[in-house]
Amino acid sequence: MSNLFVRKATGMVRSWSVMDAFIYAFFSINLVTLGFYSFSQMYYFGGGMIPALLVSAAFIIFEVVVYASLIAVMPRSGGDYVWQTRIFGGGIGFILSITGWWFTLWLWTPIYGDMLRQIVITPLLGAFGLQKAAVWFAGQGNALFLCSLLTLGFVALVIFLGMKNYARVQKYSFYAGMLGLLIVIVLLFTGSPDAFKAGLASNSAAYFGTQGELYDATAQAGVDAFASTPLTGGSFGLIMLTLPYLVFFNLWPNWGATLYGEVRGATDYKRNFAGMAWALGITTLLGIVFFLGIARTIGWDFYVQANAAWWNYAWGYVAEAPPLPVWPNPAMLAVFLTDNRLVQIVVLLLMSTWWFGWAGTLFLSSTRVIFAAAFDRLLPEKAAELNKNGTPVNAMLYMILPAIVVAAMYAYNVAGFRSITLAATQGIAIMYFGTAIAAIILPYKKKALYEASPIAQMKVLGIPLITVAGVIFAGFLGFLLVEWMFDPWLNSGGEGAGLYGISFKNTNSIVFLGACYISAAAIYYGFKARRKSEGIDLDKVQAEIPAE
Amino acid sequence: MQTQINVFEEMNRLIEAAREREIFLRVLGGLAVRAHHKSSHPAFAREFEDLDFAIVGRQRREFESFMPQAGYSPHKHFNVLNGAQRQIYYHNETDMKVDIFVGSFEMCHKIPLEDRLHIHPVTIPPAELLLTKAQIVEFNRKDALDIASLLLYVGTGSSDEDCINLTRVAQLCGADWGLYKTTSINLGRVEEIINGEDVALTEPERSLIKKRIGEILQAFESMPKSVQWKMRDKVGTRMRWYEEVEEVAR
Repeated sequence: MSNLFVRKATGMVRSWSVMDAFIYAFFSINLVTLGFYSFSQMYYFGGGMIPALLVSAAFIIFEVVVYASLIAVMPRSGGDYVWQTRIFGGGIGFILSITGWWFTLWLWTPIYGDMLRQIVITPLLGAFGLQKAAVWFAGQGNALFLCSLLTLGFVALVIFLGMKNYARVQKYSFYAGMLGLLIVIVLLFTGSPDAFKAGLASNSAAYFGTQGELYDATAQAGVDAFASTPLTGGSFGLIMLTLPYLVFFNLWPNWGATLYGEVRGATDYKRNFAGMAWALGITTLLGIVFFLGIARTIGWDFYVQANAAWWNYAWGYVAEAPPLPVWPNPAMLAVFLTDNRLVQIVVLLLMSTWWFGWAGTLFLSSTRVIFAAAFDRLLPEKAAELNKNGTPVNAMLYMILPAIVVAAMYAYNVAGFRSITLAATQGIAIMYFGTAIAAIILPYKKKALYEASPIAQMKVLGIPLITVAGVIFAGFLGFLLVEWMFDPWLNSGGEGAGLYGISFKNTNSIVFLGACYISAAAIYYGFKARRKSEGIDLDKVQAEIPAE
Repeated sequence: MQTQINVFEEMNRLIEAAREREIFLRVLGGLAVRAHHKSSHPAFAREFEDLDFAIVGRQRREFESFMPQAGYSPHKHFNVLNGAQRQIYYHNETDMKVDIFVGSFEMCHKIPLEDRLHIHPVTIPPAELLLTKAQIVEFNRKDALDIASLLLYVGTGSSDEDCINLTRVAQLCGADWGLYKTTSINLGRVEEIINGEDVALTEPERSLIKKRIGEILQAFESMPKSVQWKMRDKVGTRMRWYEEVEEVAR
């Protein structure tokens, strides 16, 4: 039941509707940006991608149950930060959630920037005949750094616009993006392999100045890069091994959880669940349809080989650019099935709205965690201040300035920094693990709060549903964390970087995460000591659930 | 009685202090209706516990620096997250709560106020004041009596000059079918309630209120209606036509 106004005092209508929250969740597990991007990197696995999508969704639905429950019990801006600090204490809660929602998001900046250029800029420049610029933007170093800065500029604009206006941007992007995806799917299901081969050659020449036969050359480059991932099949064990990579795409239907203090009807568990679950379900289904379309026309083997050829080069395993000198954007490959340049441009523009509707997620959720910590006095109060235009400038600077530094390190691959890409997922997954534990113990640690909540009657064999879902979700996260940390020893006899590249063997990854946790701890204990000297006991502050 | 007078005095004090700073601060809600009463009337006697005001969105920053000087503290957490549409302040000495609507009034329906706060010196314009009361979906007796008292003391007309501007009412309801629907339903309820023997109105007073209700409904009949409005009217109340209002604290 939503907590409808009972006329005791002036009520309010919060700025986001359930539909807005659904669209935010839908864009957070973004098929076109995160999905296409991570699918393309997963070219060397043994488990089929369709079963991988289904198995991962089956686990992630428990994440949705956990977060829908927590939101219903405590719909507060700041989400994980509030739940963890109020349920099991300030120190751990602060360290995990600040690292997850603030520091780790710096690393996402160049990843968003990479998708901006590969999905939006390069294909559109090519479509407009600006070949050299298109290929330049696909290159390393300056191009990636520039796109990271453009990303930060756009995200700053989104925050400046405010929640209500961003909801409009999302809504228009959602409808435009879905139309674009529908056209892409129609192209894939009505085209033919021969038409694709011919279209690839002619359009790639027009877009990027490629010469000669492209299809077989790209396929061979992919074979040389050990492209292997099948569309279906693979043992359950091999399918499970795809998940620690696949979750880079779909671990996020709860990304808006920190914003639910500003969503209408958030005390209604069913609405919360529906919004996130529909986003997960529809995205999973669209992913499967997309894979089937690729297999039908472009060819599954070619798709995997083209991706392998690109990433083999982008990751520095070979020095020479592949025959197709840009990331094989599936939407771009689909529009190569028509020679009508206007149709190509329109579809590419529609597909680019997937990025614009999504990009606001980079920092919007994080600002609420910074506010929550500032209201708890664990950060300077100025962190939650707004300037005369109503923009949280200080919170934005806390995000943007370090993000510029991290983006530069990533773009120029300083000390192999780019190898820690998956740490962007890992840092947040560790935070989610903390929230899962908080969810498991909530009915026992905060008994009165739980029993007064809308979810108190939801039980499985007498055990609170939130606890059961929390155990399953925590188990899944535990599997991911173990795989990430011990990957080479589990999967490749201790040799090489393993499947995911962010194990204990990757010093950069350990240093980055370690630095994040140490910094978070320093901030927490530093501010705690300072506030104590001011006569403020932060343990008492964090024992109280923040007023809305 | 002491509390009521104090709230009323505080309302005037704040409005006057804001006026000195050239800030448009206008009261709405029950106190605004009370401000239009020409005399006290036994049928409309009630208590007032807090204050609701509207401000112009463009003056939000000046207002935020004004309130501490006027003796109020902001609800910082709430105002950071919602300040572009709603703000909350507490009186430093009595903890009395003041709700601020920024640029528009948003509850079950949205009523824009941004360019309208210069019209009346104390309250939001009577047309919008009527609609803020009539837009309540969970309408109760107190709301009905507020509307009845407003219609008793303020006439209807086609301008904002000391009357309920029917042109403005029709404009807002013609642009928002949901607002029209809730208002129409509630005006009907007002008639039912004032016909009751427990409401201390004279027959001439009842007749006057009903006459003005009739004028509003007539304005609805003759107002221009877009195709979109007519299509929504065909769907009617089968689909929810209002926003759900929640408690501020959840």
